[in-house]
Amino acid sequence: MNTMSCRRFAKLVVAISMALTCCVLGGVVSNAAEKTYPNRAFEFIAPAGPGGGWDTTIRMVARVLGEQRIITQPMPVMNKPGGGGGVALAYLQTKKGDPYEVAVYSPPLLLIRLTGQTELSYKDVTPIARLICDYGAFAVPKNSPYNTINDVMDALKKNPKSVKIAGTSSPGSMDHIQFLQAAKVAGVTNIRSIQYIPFQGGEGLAALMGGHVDMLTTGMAETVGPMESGDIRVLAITAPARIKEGAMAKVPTLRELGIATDFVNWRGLFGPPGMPDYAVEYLSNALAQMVQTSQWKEICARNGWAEAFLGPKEFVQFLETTNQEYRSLLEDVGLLAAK
Amino acid sequence: MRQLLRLSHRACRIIGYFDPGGAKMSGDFTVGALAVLIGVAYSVQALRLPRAMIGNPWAPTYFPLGIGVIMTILGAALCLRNLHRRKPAEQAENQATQAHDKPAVDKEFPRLALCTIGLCILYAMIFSRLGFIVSTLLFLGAMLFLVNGKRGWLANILVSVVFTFGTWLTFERLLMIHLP
Amino acid sequence: MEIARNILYGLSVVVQPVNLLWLTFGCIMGSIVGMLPGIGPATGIALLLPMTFVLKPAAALIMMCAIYYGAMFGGSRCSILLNIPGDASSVVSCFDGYPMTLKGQAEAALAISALASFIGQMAAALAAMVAALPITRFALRFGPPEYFTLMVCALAATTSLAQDSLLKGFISLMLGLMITTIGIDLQSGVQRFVFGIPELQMGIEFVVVIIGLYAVTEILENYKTLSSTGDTPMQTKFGRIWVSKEQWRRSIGPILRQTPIGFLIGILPGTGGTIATMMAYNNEKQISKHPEEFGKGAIEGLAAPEAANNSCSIGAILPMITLGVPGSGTAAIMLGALMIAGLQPGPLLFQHHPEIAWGIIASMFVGAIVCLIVNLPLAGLLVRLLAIPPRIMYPLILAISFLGVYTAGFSTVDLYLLTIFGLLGYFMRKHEIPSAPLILAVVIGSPLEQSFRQSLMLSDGSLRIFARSGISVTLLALAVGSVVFPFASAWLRKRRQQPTAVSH
Repeated sequence: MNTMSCRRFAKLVVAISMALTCCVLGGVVSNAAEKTYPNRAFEFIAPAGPGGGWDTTIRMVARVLGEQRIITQPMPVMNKPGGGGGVALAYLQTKKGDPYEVAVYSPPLLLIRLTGQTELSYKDVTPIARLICDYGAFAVPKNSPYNTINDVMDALKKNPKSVKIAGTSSPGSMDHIQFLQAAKVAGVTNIRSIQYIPFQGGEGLAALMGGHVDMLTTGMAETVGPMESGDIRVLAITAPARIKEGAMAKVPTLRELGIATDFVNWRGLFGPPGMPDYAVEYLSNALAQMVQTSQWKEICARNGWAEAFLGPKEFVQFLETTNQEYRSLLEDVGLLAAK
Repeated sequence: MRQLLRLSHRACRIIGYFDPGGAKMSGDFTVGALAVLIGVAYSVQALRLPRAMIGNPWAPTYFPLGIGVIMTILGAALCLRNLHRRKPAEQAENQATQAHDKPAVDKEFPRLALCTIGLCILYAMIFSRLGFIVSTLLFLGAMLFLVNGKRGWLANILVSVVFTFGTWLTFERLLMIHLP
Repeated sequence: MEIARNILYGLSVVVQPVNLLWLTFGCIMGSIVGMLPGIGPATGIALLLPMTFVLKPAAALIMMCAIYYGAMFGGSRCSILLNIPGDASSVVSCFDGYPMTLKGQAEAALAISALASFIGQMAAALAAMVAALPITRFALRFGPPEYFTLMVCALAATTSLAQDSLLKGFISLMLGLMITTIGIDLQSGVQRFVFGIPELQMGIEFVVVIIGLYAVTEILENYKTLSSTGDTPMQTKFGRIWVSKEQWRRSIGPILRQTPIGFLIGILPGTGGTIATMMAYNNEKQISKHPEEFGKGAIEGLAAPEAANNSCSIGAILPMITLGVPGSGTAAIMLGALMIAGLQPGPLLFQHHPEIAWGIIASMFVGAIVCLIVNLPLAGLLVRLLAIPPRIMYPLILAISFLGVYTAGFSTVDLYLLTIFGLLGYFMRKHEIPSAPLILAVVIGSPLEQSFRQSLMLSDGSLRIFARSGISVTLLALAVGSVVFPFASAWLRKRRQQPTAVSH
């Protein structure tokens, strides 16, 4: 080969590679990606350690999607605990536009931003679908002087420090907020002075049963066992309407007792920021299909989850209104950090 | 001045009563000084902590501040304890036992230790970027060549490959724990 | 009589082939996840959770419990052989287990660890059968002030063990407490000492601290003599995994003494294996006739915490079954599994689903036997790791440590921290600063502060709440006693021996 043809050959190579690059940038390849999506394994993210609500939810989703053959690509679950979900949120920022990243979140996604634990908000992720709802419960020891939630509120109105309220997560988190919301609507004026004592996991329930605290605000499911055995009494739940089956059917809702509010612990799936529309559409369709299966319905029934599917558009609207609610509530308590 | 000296002597003896072994080593003054330093720095940081937005605003500060102050006091006490301790006989005896206790340190040691720490930090840096398999192969291989030397190159390569893929399979397939 | 009937009923549930099969599977899985550093029983159970849906509830629960105590059996393997503590409750097994290995007694160490675990678990299961409900009811009397004083007591006892230099012991303790203040304050939500690193918000995983302080430090320390010791394996001939009569005679007392303590601490919701094992070790060292052998391979120092650890794990499952209160993270996951199966734990479980309640309790009994049968041959295989020459072993230990730390928290920041804590451990060892107080402080520092502040919120700021009950007063007295006692006795002895020395 002489130098001339060498040079020509080089030019040709450059031209071809440039053309190829243009094609890639021009979206030919991305079109192909859209057509063949999903063609590799997903990465499902639980923003907490194994065993918690988030972890259970996303593992269940992966299981049902896989076993019902709705999605045939593998969906390994990766745990990214830390910062009340903030670590996983930061991780998603490094995966901008990746159609294979899926994470589960619930109210803390909004709360950790509002209380200043992270700079990132629900706007930094792509909502895919809301799946389920859970509710909170307010419980007292069996020999408590309080017989209804209104008794508790009356005591708080007289002296906001008189009732020691335990919860199973830190101030500004769900357990705390759900009670403050109820107290505010019930007309307790000085809700800033309400004594909220956070406990870890089961310790709150133990402290309640031992009579060390006056009231516990927590998730509904945790209270069922001790309530059935008569160790505690559940005064009210935060559901919008009475639960139809099981032990909780006996417990009144806040609304029934004249406190016109409810608190929903929703859980849904999210993608990284800038997740392509085709991926959101594909996944939300898959999930819509999933929630119709009897396997999913059975799992929900077993866990006491209310089915609450919302597609991506409705989910975004839901998040916006919910965020406003939390914001005004946190502002009242003085826990609002983000402006 | 002399009174001060006597006072510190006395303090020293009282502390020594509760802390018979606290002046065994020559480096203990350094430990005490470091503890004071950490205690003070930590206390200052504790005072600069944000206030709680709900309840007692100082609530998150008390506990760390307490630890910081106690740390400072403990460090100071250890320093004081070491100021006047040196009776020559005691010192000689200590040094003798020390020399007896500890076998000679290899000449290789500083290089080995520094390289290991360097490799550990490198491993941490590349772990999630290159993924578990690549980074572990590199780290384990490098560590083995460092510690085991070039003579055992075959063993080094075999061990790192077997370990890396063995653990990867165990976690990824058997336990379904996802590694990067 | 009724108790005997219940026990027999429970046993009849367990020996059904299906249940026995899953029990054995759980024991094996537990021993394996327990052995892997960083992966504890909680992760193990969570990962197998999906599997439990296809099982009958009794089999599922029996299997999960088996994973839990199987992990307690397996947890000390790495501590004894490699000085890598796999989780917080197996740190104490490093104290004397690893020195025993260094002395060429690895077989005996592994054997006594399995035997002590076995006896501890059998005794605890027996206690659970006889009096599960009354004991757990008693545990409810522990409120925040009682927890606080219990933890103070544990810390005081552990620190006073550093009799050589109490000052350094307390410095180590304070350093540990400082480490635990890193992260979001659970009482107020305020971020403390996070320095803008989101991974630090949840605090520093204690597995990072303990693995750094033990495994990494040990390697750095061993480098000093690598040229002379690097090529010869620690052991090449291996005996049977068993103990000699003499070793057995020395161990049985500590095992029987510390089992009840582990059980009682286990029942208290929220306190864990670390307090139980540390207390067991402290107690034995305090009453031992030759405390100077502790830390240098005294078999009592390994037997006592191992027994306490398993009886503690049995204790920790009980509040979950009898009251529906999960006493630990692992129990919380099991509680979740119970509820997914449509069962409500609590006293009613014994009436509505006796096959499950009594089946679980009886399975602890049978499980102990299965675990022993599984673990002795397993130990016989593992001990052969010691035949690997140190020059190859050390890099492997480092790699295992990194892997363990990563799987414990899934965060790469922990990998840097591991190196830092390795260096800290090296510094501490060089200056003879005891590490036990730091370790215990790291594990219980956060609950210590929480319970302190919870108490003060309950009492509207009055410190008198810490003296409100007989329990907390006793515990405080024990705390003071454990610090003062060694000095008082040493002082008295000194005074008796050389009466002239005190005069000037």
